[in-house]
Amino acid sequence: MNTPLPATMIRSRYTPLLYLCAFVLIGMAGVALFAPWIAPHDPNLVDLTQKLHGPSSAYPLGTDQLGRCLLSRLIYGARISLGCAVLIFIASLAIGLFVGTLAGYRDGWVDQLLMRLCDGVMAFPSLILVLGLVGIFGPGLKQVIIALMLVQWVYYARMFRGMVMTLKTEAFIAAARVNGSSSWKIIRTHILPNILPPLLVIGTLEMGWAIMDISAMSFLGLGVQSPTAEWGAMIHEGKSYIRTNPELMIYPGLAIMLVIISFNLVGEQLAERFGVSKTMK
Amino acid sequence: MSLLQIDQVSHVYKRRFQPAKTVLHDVSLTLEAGRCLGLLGSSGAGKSTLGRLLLGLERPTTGTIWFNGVDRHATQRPFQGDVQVVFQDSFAAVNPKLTAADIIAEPLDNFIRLKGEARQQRLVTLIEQVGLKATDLTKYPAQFSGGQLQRIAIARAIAAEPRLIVLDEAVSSLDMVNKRLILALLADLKRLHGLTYVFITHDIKAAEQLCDSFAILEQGRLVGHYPSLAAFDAATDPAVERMRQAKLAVHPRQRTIRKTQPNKG
Ligand SMILES: Nc1ncnc2c1ncn2[C@@H]1O[C@H](COP(=O)(O)OP(=O)(O)OP(=O)(O)O)[C@@H](O)[C@H]1O
Ligand SMILES: [Mg+2]
Repeated sequence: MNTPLPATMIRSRYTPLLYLCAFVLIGMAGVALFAPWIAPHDPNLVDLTQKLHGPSSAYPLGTDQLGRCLLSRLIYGARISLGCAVLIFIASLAIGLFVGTLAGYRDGWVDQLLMRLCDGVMAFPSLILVLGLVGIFGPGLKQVIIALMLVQWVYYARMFRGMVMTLKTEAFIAAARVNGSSSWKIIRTHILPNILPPLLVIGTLEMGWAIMDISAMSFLGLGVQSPTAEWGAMIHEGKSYIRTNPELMIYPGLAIMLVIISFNLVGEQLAERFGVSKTMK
Repeated sequence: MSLLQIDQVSHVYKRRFQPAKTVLHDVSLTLEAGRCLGLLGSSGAGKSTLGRLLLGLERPTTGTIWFNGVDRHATQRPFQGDVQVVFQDSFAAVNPKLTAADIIAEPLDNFIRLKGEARQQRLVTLIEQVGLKATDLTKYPAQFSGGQLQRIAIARAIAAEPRLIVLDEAVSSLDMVNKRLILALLADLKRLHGLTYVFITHDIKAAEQLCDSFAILEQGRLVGHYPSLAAFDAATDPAVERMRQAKLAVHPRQRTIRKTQPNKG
């Protein structure tokens, strides 16, 4: 990993594409937040007389096999995808930050133990591990979120440990010790402020991954259970109609793609700007 | 009683997956209060290691460091503010995310605990004592030059009224003009605050300007100790000669040039 400190301010050229992606993400976040006001219909309202309709003024994107408004379901789906991604990011980040900082700052057996644990988790492709955990916990959104958190924190822990170990040898840390600052104060005032900027980058990229993972689990029928609207689950439900009504899969598929591409492009630009390596997985 | 008594100190660095390395062998030295000891030696001689031992950042493997009559490493918390440090690379020695005021206030807040107006007044006094302005207190490290930042580091070192300051190559990265100015500042502060210095350097000239006693380390061993400038200048033993000849050949580690941005604006 490139040294995260100090954040080298490389001015990169901001392409219109970047603005477009940022716009998409902000728009999606807005849609997720204000879903009840934006959605034209109740996303779970079944109306079998209206099933599999094409776009109309009442149903802008048409209806699904149970006559539910596709647009409304997409809008509510953004809520679950983005909301869960944020939740997973914050939770696994908090655990990883705690463990990684501890391991990096207190080397010796604490570090050894924590890092062997990380090695163990990282030995498996993360999706396989999540699948295994969901297999143990049973299907459901909550279980998927917990499984993803249990797997994700390891990558943060690794990253923060490396940063803290590099920082620890800096002269200003030695000076802080000489000046009587406690370990806790050193971590709080000297270490955390210097490792947080790259988070912006990692966070953006990580959200993309989380959304993909949640959708993948739901698609496999392990995550969100019907009738809750979620993009992966919508693709799952729509797949029986792939020949007659491919739009049931295409719309949620496009939504997933758009969000993940946006997160990745924005993350990459930020990575370049802050000089952070973007290979966490 | 001497302020500092280094008694048969040896130090071994042990690192995982690497053979242990003895970097100090049975070093003994004494230093009286108010004096300045020049600790000379080529790169890797163990000067900084001895400095770290004095600071309490490392424990001696064997031997004792008596400071003001107490064993420096007998307590779990060796950091009481009475021994301070100024490092070579001023950019690495300060947290880029803190303002000058935060940097100088760190020892103040930990050891003296001034509050409000008194604290602010003390910060202004300190920064003016090192030749900077009160308005510089709100600036970030990236807004200072190397020489100015070294002054900030010196202000931090004197903030909690220490007895002893370890100056580890404190002027080695500075240009000629700044070197002279900072050496003069250090001499002034020493008089003003009754400080004692251990001045670690490769630079015989700089040491001769500031110091009144001299010690030479070679590969972790003390090979010469001269109680006065006259004795040092008159010395003709091989260790001094080697130091004099080496002075052009050895360079301090280059300071890494950092571009950082302050965290606001
Ligand atoms: N933390 C450490 N772990 C292992 N070995 C170390 C460590 N710090 C220093 N050393 C080794 O100890 C020896 C003495 O290092 P030290 O930094 O004390 O020398 P120095 O006299 O200050 O040299 P310089 O003039 O280059 O600063 C060197 O060989 C160095 O490689
Ligand atoms: Mg050194």
